[in-house]
Amino acid sequence: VADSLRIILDDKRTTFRAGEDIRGRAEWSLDAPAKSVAVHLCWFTRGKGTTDTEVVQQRTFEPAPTGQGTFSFRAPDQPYSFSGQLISLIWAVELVVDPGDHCERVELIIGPDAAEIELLATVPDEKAGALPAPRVI
Amino acid sequence: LKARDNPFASHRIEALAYRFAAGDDWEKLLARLQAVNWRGAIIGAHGSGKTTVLTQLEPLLIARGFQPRRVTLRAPDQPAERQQALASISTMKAPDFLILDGAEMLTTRQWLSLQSGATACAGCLITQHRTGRLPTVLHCEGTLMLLEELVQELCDASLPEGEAPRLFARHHGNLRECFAELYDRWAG
Repeated sequence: VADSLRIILDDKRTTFRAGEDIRGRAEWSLDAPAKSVAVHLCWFTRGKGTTDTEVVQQRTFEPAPTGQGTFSFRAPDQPYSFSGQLISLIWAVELVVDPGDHCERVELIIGPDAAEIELLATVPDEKAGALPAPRVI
Repeated sequence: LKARDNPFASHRIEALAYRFAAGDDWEKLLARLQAVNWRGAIIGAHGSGKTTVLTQLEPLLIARGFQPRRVTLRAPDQPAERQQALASISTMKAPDFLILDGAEMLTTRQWLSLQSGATACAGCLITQHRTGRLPTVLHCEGTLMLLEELVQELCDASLPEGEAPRLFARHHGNLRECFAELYDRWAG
């Protein structure tokens, strides 16, 4: 039987403004004993180049083979969720079990108006034709 | 196109499974490493998959009771940073398993010092561009066929006719650089 990890956010909400509470419940059922079970509030980058990541808050639980627990984090003031052509910054709540590769992740958006900031360039019409069209490789 | 959605984003490249040459696999690589007392080298040019092998080998070493300890040397390292990285090796002891990415960055003197400092490690696996220093256990090589196969996997599409050889040649077989160019082109 494979390990089972779940994160359930209250009201299934995944978009937040800075300062708002991110609440939810974690559930796990493991085949083997764990050293630690924790929920992280973290951000990571996606895009070109080295990936950055940071855990900004965490809640640890008794590493029982089967268990559940609630968590509550305060959405930080920064960095905001954003996306450009080179890099995206993505917030997430992760349920992490050590040892092993076990991880369950729910992606969040934290930003003004509870929306991701988009940094995609707007190209003036007269220049647009000089650029390679997206998705043509 | 948002960076997170680019099929050539770093995390997608890093998640690609290393492709062995026909007839080779992880078990055979580990057997070769064990045969040289867990002290060997992975050889290959830039962007040929050496670091990918190291990353994907680590869990297999853990499963055998080792504790992989990765030290990465890069060209822009400051002397103090390099010295600090090398000093950390002298504190390692079994079951620590030194994984040194970028051994070609070391001078002969630094290498000899490292070898002496790493004797207490349970194993030592290095990457470098040329043979020497430790017995070669794997030779990584980026090929045109591999490039085409990985592009297909990443974006579920093929490059236009004749494009893959030009891309491959332009980057001298460095697949990482090929993917970087494709990232930019895909981003638009």
